Amino acid sequence: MKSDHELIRLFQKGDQSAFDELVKRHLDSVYRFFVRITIDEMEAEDLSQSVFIKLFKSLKNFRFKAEFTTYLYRAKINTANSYLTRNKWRNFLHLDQVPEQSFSHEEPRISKSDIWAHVAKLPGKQRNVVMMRLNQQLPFKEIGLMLDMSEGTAKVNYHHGINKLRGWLKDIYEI
Amino acid sequence: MKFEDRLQNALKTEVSTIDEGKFIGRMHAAQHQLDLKRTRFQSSMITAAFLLIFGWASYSQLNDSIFNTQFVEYYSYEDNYEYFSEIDSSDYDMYIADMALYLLDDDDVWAILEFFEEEEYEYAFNEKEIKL
Repeated sequence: MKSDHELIRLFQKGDQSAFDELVKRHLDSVYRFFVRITIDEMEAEDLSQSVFIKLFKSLKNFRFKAEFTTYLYRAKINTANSYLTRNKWRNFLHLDQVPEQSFSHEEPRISKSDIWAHVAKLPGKQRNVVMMRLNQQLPFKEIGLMLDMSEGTAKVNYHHGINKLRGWLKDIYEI
Repeated sequence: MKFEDRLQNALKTEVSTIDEGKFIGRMHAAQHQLDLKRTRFQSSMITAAFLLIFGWASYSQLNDSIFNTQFVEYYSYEDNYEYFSEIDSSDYDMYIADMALYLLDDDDVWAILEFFEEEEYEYAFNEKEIKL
C-alpha cells in the first residue's frame, strides 16, 4: 500500500487517480469532523468537498516538509472556522430559544448549535484548540503539533476557552 | 456530570457512512463547474478590458477630430470675413457685383467705391487709375 507522500508525488506527476485514492483514504475522517459541527449531513458533505477541492489545487505545491494529515487538519480547521463565522447569524437565531424544561432529575442536554455558536465567539487560538479537542478528542501534544504550538500552550488555550464557554452557557443551561 | 463530558455527549452524533464513489464523482463535477466559472470570469474580464480600451480610444479620437475642430469651424462667433475658400469666392464676386449694380441704379459712383473699400474688394481697385 502506497503512503500519502507517494500518492502526492504521483498526483504531482499528473496521476489524477492518485488523488482519488487519497480522497478515499481520508474522506471518512473529514466527513465525521464536519458532521459533528454542522446541522445536517448534506452540509458536512459540502464542507468535505470544499476541503478536497482546495487540496486538489494546493497539493501541486506540497513540499513534503510535514505529514499530509497535519496539512489536512489545518485545511479542515480553516474550513470549519469560515463555516462557523459565516453561520454565526444562523446559530444566534437559536440562542433565544429556551431549552425544554425537564421535570426529571437529569441535566438538560446542551444543543449542538449552542455549543458551536459560542465556540465561534472564542478568540482564534482558543477556538481552534477547543474545536479539535471537542470534535476529535485529540491529545494536547497532537493538537499542538497540528496548530504549530507547544503542548502547554494548547492546554492553556483550551482551559481559557472552556471556561469562557462555561460562562456563556451557564446563562442558558443549569451548569 | 463534568462540563466537558456534557459537551462531548451533546456532540455525539450517529454518522452514516458516505459513498466514496458518488462523493468523488460529485467532487470532480463541482471542480469542473468551478473551472468553467473561472474561465468565464476571466474571458468576461478580458472582454470588458478590451471594450474599455477600445471605447476610450474611439472616444478620444472622435473628440479630437469631430467635436473640437468642427465646432470651431461651424459655430464660431467671430466675424472672419477674410476667410473664403476657393469654392465660395465666385459667390462672393457675384454678391459684390450685384451690390455694385444696385448702387449704380442710384447713379452714385462714389457710393460704389466706398462699398468696395469697406469690403476691401481687391479686384475692384486699380490704384493707378484712381490716382490719375
